[in-house]
Amino acid sequence: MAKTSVIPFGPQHPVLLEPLHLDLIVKDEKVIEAVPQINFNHRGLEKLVEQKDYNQFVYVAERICGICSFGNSMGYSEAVEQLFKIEIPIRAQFLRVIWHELSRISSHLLWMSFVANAFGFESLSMYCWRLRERILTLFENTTGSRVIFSVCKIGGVSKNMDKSQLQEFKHVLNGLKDEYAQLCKTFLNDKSVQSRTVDVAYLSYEEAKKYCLVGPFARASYLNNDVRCLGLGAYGKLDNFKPVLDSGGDCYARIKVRALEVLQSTEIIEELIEKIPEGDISINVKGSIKADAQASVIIEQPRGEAFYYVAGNRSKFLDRMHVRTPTAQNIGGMVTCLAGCDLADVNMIILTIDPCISCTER
Amino acid sequence: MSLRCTFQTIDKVDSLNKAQEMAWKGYSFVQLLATRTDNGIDMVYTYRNGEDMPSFKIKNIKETDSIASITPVFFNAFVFENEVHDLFGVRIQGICVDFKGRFYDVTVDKSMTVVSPELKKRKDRKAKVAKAKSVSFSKKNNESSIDKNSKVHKEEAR
Repeated sequence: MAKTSVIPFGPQHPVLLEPLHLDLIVKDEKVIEAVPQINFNHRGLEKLVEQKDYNQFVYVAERICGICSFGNSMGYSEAVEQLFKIEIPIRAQFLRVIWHELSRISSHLLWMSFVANAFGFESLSMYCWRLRERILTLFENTTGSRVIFSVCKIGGVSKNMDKSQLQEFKHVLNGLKDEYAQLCKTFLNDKSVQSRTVDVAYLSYEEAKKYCLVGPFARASYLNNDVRCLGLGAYGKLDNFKPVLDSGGDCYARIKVRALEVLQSTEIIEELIEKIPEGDISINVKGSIKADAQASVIIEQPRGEAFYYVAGNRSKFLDRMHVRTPTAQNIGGMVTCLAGCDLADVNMIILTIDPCISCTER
Repeated sequence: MSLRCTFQTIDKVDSLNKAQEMAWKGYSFVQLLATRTDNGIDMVYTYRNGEDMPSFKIKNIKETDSIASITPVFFNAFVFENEVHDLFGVRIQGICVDFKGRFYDVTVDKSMTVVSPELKKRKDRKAKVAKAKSVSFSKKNNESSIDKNSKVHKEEAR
């Protein structure tokens, strides 16, 4: 007779790289329900607006998460620039998007290595890390740092890239393409990968819409809510941006979407490098925030749509700053995917939503 | 294309109705946040449909007030409602997955409502400056009226 038991999963687990706890209610080897629990990484960063003024808080915003570091600083800066109702120079918009897309490549390669590790393909995992090293070197050469760059500021960016650096970008990304194509082939065509991911944790388009999923998790169920489609900032200068969509809805589709997004990001960067205009990289932003001002902004982080809200009142300190990260939005969908799955598939399902708990908890 | 962000104020009792209305119109739920103010807690619900992103604010929520959960309409809002309850102390009724205060199990209760020493210092300084300005303004007014009176007395004396 089937016996129901509760298996605690995380926050410490060999294949779980994020501090997330799940109470898995299982019957034999089937998961009936999963109850999530976070609160292992809550640092109260949003409360720091009381101590850091709007310029200083950029350095706090980029430390919300190491992987989404640039995106967080960019989203926060854009929100404050909206508060002041200013538009940054076009060159600064291009530079932000170039670094942001490179950040997306770095994030997806990191995720792919974790996924390969999770289904036991160690050499594939190491291959991804090797490719990612080249991206981190590019970051170091242009920003001075590999993980947390501190180049975004209110009013633009603090570092410029000359022609030689931009050409180096193109050269490195071109060199990456062949090796990355081999990597993609293994991820998408290897029988062992397919056996672990095809038809696992299927989520239909209607369910994805119902749970308001974002990012590649949603796009793998053919739900297009890519913020880049809105054409904000330098994304508006792209000739023909189309999001990567797949109707598979399973773990395999989520891997495919992220794998193809890396190639799409390289094309975006190459196009922007061709089109980047000369000019200033920042404008001076001084003074206090107006009375009862509030602004909100969304950007497409590697994990999905991220929402930033700022509010101020006649001071250089913000009254409130809030970030809603994509993982917080996708937790509901993840819990739904886990219900009815095999116990052995739990880690794969969690990884395919690409959770980032430090972003979620702040 | 651009993003259309709008902010509107709604009543406490309208949160669930507004969520239902947004769901019918095809909007997806984006987020729920809370802010501590001098008059209570403000909550902001944001929805999105393409380039339209309206936000609805509920103002001045007191400790005794209770807000209806929108999880019957948007299941994924349970993460944000539990967060708002744990960090701001807002009472939300009917959350589908209710952690009863254990979602963010922090040492300080309602940690986001605690006024930090830096904030208190700034507020006290602002209040002092405002008081000093009002005193000097009333002084100036008095002086100018005394000046007027003395001018009138001088003219009468002549």
